Amino acid sequence: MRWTPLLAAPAAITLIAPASANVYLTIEQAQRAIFPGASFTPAGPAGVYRASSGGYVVIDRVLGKHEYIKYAVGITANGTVRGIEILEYNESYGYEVREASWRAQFVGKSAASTLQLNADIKNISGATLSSKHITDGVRRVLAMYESSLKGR
Amino acid sequence: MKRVLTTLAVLTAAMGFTGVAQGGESPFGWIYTADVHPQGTFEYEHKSFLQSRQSRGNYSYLQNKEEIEYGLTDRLQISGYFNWSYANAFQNGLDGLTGGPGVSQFLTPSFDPTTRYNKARFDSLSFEAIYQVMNPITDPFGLALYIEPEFGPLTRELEWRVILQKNFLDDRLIVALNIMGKHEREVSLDGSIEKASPIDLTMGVSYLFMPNWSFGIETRIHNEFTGYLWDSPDHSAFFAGPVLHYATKEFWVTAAWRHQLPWVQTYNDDQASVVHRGRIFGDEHARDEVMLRLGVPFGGK
Repeated sequence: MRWTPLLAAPAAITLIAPASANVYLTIEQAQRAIFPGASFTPAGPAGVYRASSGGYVVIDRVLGKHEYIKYAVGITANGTVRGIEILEYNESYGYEVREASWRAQFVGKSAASTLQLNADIKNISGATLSSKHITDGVRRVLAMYESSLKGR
Repeated sequence: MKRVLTTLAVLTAAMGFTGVAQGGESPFGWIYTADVHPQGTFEYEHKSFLQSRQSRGNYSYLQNKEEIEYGLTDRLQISGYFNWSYANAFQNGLDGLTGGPGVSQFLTPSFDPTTRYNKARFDSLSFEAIYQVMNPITDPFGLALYIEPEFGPLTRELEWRVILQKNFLDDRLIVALNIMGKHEREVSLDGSIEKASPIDLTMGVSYLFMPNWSFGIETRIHNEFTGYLWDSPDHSAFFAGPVLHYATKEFWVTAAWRHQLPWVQTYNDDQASVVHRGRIFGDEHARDEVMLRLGVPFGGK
């Protein structure tokens, strides 16, 4: 019995398997959800938009267990999180990160906040990796705001 | 044996029922990681484990598992397996006779050992429980305990593992180590009974080099003993090879290959008599081991 066909099976499966991405919001929809009624202009760095009402929306991505999670962070003019939105999520588990109650934990956080999972952000059972990486991502976005966007 | 069973049963029963978890897939072929399925989710998994080539002739032994895994709590995962196999061997022994793992046990006294053995069969049913003690994502390292009793017409076996995992580089790099023990009783069709208690130390490194794709290396240090409780050592064998893992939200697939390295150590004359060029064959091992795993998760949304 030859075992070469066994090794070829993964490649064959990945070629024939259907691939579908879960896109929940476009960038424009996320901007409007965070700053209703505002208009947006690119603010220099890729993925950063200035809101006409003051503040920024930063589009970022972090790695989930298998694929990138695309999300948006809205930052007010005084540097606190106004809201976060999940634009794309493509994992087997952990869709609870899209729930408003979990995302609401980030509202009011700033670059001075701890922003650590299981400290000031509650973990979601079954979505630990996604919860941790989104939390780490928001912390990095706020650090970037503090160093590059604040006062511009 | 009874004392080991009792200890493991108490250990399993003492496990709590709270905590956090992430999906239970492993990027390795043989090595388990400390991840378990979230509560209320389940997964179908197929495993094909092929042992191929001995010192001469033809030899293939394909062991298959059809498995359903279920997250009973966020820390406790249970599973049930249906085990079946296929063996094809012809004059593969050092003495030119047909035999080997998965073959010799099933040869009837009337079988002519100079002819080909070629047969598929049902082997056993087994049950598995994995308890996550420490979460690899939020704790300094991951720790899980594993137990798997197996029952078949000719086989009784208890397998246990201590599973350790450490993640690096934003969880892209996974290092995992399993300490695995088995206590097994195999009845051969010629009426003989074999009692064995192997201890394996397996270690692997896997890196998510792009979304969906991981590549790694697995190693295995295998130590075989006669008797239920490591009564007398038989041999130590060493394996190593690559593993490739592809995963999406709908399914995942893993292909791994381990090669027996020519470093075997034997501890009695019987074992030494089936060594060829530094590798042990006979009823013990093959030259190559290949694993193919396919998983389909359910209940995640």
